[in-house]
Amino acid sequence: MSQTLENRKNSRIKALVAESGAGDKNAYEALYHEYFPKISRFVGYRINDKETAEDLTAEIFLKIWENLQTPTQIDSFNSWIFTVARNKIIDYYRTKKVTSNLFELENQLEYEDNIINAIDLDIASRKCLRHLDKLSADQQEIIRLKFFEDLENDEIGAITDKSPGTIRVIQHRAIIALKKYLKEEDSPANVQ
Amino acid sequence: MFNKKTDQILDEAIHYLRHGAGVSDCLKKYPGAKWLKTSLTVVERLSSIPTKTPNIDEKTVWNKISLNLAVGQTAASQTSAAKQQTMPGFRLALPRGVFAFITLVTILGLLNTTAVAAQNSLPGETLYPIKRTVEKIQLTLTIDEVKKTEVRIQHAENRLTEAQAIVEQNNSPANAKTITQTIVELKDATAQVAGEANENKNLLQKVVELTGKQETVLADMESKVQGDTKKAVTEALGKAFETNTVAAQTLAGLEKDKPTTTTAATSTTSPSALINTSSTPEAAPNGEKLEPSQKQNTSTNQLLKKLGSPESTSTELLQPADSNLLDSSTSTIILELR
Repeated sequence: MSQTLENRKNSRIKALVAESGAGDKNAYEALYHEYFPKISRFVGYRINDKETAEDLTAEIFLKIWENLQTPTQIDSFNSWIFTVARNKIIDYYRTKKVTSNLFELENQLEYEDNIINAIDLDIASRKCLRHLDKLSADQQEIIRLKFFEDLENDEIGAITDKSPGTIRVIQHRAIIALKKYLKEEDSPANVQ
Repeated sequence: MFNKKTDQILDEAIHYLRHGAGVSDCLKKYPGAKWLKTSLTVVERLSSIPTKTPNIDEKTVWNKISLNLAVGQTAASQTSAAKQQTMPGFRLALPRGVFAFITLVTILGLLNTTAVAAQNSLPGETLYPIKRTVEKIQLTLTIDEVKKTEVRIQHAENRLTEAQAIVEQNNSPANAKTITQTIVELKDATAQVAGEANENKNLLQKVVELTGKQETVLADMESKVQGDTKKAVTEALGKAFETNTVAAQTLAGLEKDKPTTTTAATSTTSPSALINTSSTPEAAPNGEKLEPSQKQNTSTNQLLKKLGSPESTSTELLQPADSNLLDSSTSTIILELR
């Protein structure tokens, strides 16, 4: 059932992309509302200043509009929009001469403070986050993008420049490692 | 289905979970994957971690976008790319290469103007370092060793003129350090050219001229300055005197050897001896008789050719002997030695 829902959504987006490409601004507005939550989250987590984040989000959508007006073959709108978003953020930090690596950037930005709602954090989640820090940089990045930012594999692929297969493998290893850490932590308590 | 890799099964299960399916539904879908239950528990824990929603207003952003779309401007209107596009005519008319060329020519022109302007600057002035840099470049560009020494002689002369000019224009205690510095540089430059001028009469002659001038200027300066500067001037004066004497003696020594060389070459007559006897008294009274000595030099060459000995070495040796006569002190020494 969910599969058909997803397919319907995908074909709707495809249609909107095509209409926007033909210069239909209403279709583009619908497309904007479709993607705003994900893109604004992606930008907002990485840019602390509200106004800059809003400007950059607007620039990303303007860039998308501009590119849609030129005849280009778009394989996956999902991953393409995230490639544009990622490049915009990298460009922004490059002009500010900070860094060009998103992961480094996230460390500098105290990304976790930006993304995790610490007030509502329960003990189980805290444990989980603590163990997350023990994972490799790649694994941490994939887990954060997937579960904290709610991104799909193709979107993560666009952001991290990794193939879907690589992402699946990294995700799997990360989950196994977390499972192991949580089990180790739980076992002494079980003995008691 | 069971042939699927574990990472693929997990990924699919996560996908179903995120799209509304429960853990039990997922487990039913993959009955052979016993490990899946615990993995999905971890996934659920990760998914339940509360996240913030960034404070970006959807409407504000759309207003910005639609405003730009309405104006007809594309993408980031504030970016440099957009700025470049606003003057396409200018960009088309002058391609990148032309821009670079114009810039280069302008820079070279400015450098040249500055360098010319710097030629008249004095130590302590803003343009003076440029003058010294130009001198260094001039030295680097001169490959021939003799010419290099000539350039150095010219530079030493510059130091002398500069020192003289600052003492006359601004002989204040505040300027004393600059004057001293220039004098020390003058002394060093003189010492260097004196060392290089050995065996070359033309250069020796120039050294004699240079140091002779230094003696006059420095002796005059000595009475005008005080303290360390005075000490430096006295030292430079001593060095100038010493260099002058040594150079003049060397020159005279070379002069003395010359007739033998020429005699050997000509075997019958000694044209150089002839010229020397005739030209020395003529030029000795003052150092201005350049023309006659040059004429004599030419005539010497002609004479040598006639005699069937156009050896370059002997003519070369003759040449400075004639120009020597510019300096009275040298001539006196030559006469004495005779």
